[in-house]
Amino acid sequence: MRRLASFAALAAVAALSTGCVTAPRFKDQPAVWRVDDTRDIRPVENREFLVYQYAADIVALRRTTRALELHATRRARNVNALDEVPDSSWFTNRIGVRTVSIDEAVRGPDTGGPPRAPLVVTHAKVGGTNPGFVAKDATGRSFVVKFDPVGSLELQTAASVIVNRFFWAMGFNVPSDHVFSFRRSDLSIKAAHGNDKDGPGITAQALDAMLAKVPRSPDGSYRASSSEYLKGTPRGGFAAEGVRDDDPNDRVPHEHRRELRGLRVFAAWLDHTDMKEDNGLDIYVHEDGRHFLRHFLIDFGETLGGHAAEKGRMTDGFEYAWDNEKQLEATFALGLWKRPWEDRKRSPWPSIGPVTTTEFDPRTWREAYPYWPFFERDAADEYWAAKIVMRFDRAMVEALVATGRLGDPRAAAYLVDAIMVRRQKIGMAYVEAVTPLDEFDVKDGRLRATDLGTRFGLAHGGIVERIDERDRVVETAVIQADGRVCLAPLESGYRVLRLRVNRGTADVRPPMQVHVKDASRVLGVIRIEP
Amino acid sequence: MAGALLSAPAYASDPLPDQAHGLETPPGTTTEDVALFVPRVLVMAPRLALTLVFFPLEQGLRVFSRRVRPTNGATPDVDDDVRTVAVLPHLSYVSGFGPTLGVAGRYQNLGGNDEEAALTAGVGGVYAQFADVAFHADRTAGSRLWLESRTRYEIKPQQIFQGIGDGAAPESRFREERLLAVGRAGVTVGEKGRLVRIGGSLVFERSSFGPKDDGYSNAPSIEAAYDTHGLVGFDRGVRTVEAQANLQVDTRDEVAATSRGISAAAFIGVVPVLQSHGYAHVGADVTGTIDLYKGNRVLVLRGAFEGVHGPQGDVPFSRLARLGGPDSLRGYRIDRYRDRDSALLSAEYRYPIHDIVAGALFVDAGHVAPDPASLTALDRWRAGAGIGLRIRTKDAFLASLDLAYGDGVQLFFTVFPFESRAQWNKP
Repeated sequence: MRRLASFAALAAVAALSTGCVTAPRFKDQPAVWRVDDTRDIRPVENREFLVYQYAADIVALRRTTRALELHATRRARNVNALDEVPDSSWFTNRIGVRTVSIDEAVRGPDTGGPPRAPLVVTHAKVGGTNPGFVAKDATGRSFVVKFDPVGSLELQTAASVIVNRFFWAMGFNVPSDHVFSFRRSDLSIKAAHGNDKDGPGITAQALDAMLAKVPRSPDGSYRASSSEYLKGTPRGGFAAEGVRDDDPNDRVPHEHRRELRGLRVFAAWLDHTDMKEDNGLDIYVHEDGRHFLRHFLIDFGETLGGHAAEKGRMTDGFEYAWDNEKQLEATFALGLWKRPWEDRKRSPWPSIGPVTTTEFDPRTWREAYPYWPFFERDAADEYWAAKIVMRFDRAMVEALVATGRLGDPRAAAYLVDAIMVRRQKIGMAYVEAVTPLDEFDVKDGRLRATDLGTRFGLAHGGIVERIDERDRVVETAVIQADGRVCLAPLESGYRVLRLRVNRGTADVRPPMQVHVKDASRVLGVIRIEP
Repeated sequence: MAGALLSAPAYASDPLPDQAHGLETPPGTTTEDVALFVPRVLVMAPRLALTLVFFPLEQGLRVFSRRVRPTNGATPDVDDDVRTVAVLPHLSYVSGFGPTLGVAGRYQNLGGNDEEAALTAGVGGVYAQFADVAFHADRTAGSRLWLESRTRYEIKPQQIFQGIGDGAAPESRFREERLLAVGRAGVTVGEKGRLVRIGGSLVFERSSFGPKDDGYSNAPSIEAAYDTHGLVGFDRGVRTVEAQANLQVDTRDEVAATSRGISAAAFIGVVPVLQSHGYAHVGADVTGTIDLYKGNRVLVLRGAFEGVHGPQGDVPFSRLARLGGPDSLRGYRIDRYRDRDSALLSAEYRYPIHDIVAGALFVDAGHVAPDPASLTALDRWRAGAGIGLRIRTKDAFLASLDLAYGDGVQLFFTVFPFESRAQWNKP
């Protein structure tokens, strides 16, 4: 043991002497806003979702070995010099960088609207626990059609479309989902067949048995959500960590992708606890003469408290489905610890899940199934995602909630209020956790920025402090009412400005770096100093 | 196989995905890396060891996942609430006996009205072997007819006998081969939360006894410690038919994850003298659950009494009331005490750990005596206490683990594959 300790100490000294902590420097070039990950590739293998192995990994096996790897905090590896995510086959900047109109957000990924009757049911639905089927509509398009759980009409059909539009506006690739209604007479069955490559067959008898159990609208029609088949060949869900061996375009380990690490903030906001590998989907597409994988998020039916409502599990969003840490604490607490979810209340409407506001704390929110990219996130990932969340204003939220076609306007208003309260909490937790200066530019030799805390109404002004390497304040600038701030003229050459926001006594944010060249251009931003 | 690009980059001006950062000098080793270096070296060996151990497990689960795909019910991938047939492992452990392993199969909703049939068989632990077939229906074929039946065959190679009465006596072991057949019929009144069952039963039981089997406990065989000729029924075996009148009241809100309510069962039985044994048999078992906080911190109070009375020499030693084991007086071995009357009081506090897991702190106290009046001698009661885990859904018990201290430390673990709505009364 002593020998081992000596070896470890020597190795540590070696590491210190050879790998000194170096300050990063940026190249003198514009920030990258699009990466090249759509090169032509050979067909890739389908990646199966092996549910028992996946469950064992997230509960025990991989969870244990991951913990023993002792990961250090790492900056996301696919961000540009401004600490933003460039467009790729995974993500397209939308509301985060430009104005997205309400009409555009409501339309989202829509291609041709909901299915048009009559529908030919071709297969039973594969995966998931809710009833559904696959059908082809009058225009020849194929859809997955899903229903609400018994006793909760609108719960999942509404959430699946509402959150689909939110995620599209954020920048993710999502399928075209809609709420629609039909009658039994609108359905016919494709000639009876067994299982084929597209899924299990379905008989008229099985279809009627299923329809007998799904909730119906007051007018007797069936309310469902449709998800249009994506163009291309499905190749399975993307892994939560590592890269895909047979995709040379996939060069950034998924747990180090900013959009997947920051996804935790989006998921917390909209209570998307059902985060797991089979709710992602890789599609082998053919676009502009090239074949490549495009990466989608799918199946939002169990968001907005839907997962908790369906499973009857009020711990959802507060604890993992199997949470070693919380369960150990609870074991020794002997029931004397009142856990936050114990005050969680159901919504007044069966169409709305328990999407809580009072008990919601984004910092302690947990997905139901541990998702490795979330474990790797840092404050910069959270800030990036939170500022996207803050760009959804009330009018936008109201419009997106309306896409769920909730029958009771009071239920819709309740949901809008809940989403807005959770949005505010996201902002306070992640925008205000760092120095939230953004939108940098240099004009007349002076660095200008916007304090997003003030801009989004999370804080009321303060000052920006420029500090030296010993954290001594060398300059201050007052934050204007609109959040704008302007520093003193800069010197030429490569300058690293260490800035922090001071909201008042003992309310100082951690410093960030802005790298500026020749008092004329911003080269890069380091949100969290190493 | 690593993939390959088919053509030159289409966007020569766009960098590759891992080259967007624009850094000329990337950050070097961070202070966090340096701080973690020694811990990483220290955990490297256990990490590699675990990786090696987990590898075959993961590969096995991969194969299992491919072959056994979860379905949404009887009609795969179409609906989700018709789960009628299942086969599961049966597992239990009792201190001093070791593990019992077996398999259990169930058919639920046999006639479309929650009728339930189960078949269980196993070996090891308390048993050399056992097989059990049971049927339960509160509302047979949709009527008010309450029907239960159970047939059980078991060989217990090392039953504990430690004398009759509550005094100190040497421990010994004996073998029992037993066949039990129970038929019960009656009416069910009310609904869940206010359910009453009234009916009658016929209980056939045949047991034969002998010295303990070899290869088990170090305790002496019964004939080495006791005069077995003086134990009623030991030499010739026991064959009885008991007629019972039964009353059950159930006001629990949920059968397994109970927040409040009472579950009570009482019976009066008579064993007519068919061969050589005849006696009267009475019993009552009442469990009340009190909600202390939010329905998941509960106090479970239980009181039970059993009496077996007949002319001297007519009550077989194996039919005497008993205490000790996971169902009564935890902290003591199974059947540690036996006599004509027994009383048990128990208090158990349960608190939430997980949706389906509750922790438990419990105290049991019990006493056996030759007559009911002697049960009031409080100074002769035995007590035990312990901790446990209860794994259950709302309406199904899944597993139970108890660690108790009484006259020694006792560990009891049981998986209940199908002890759900059918709450079998122990005859």
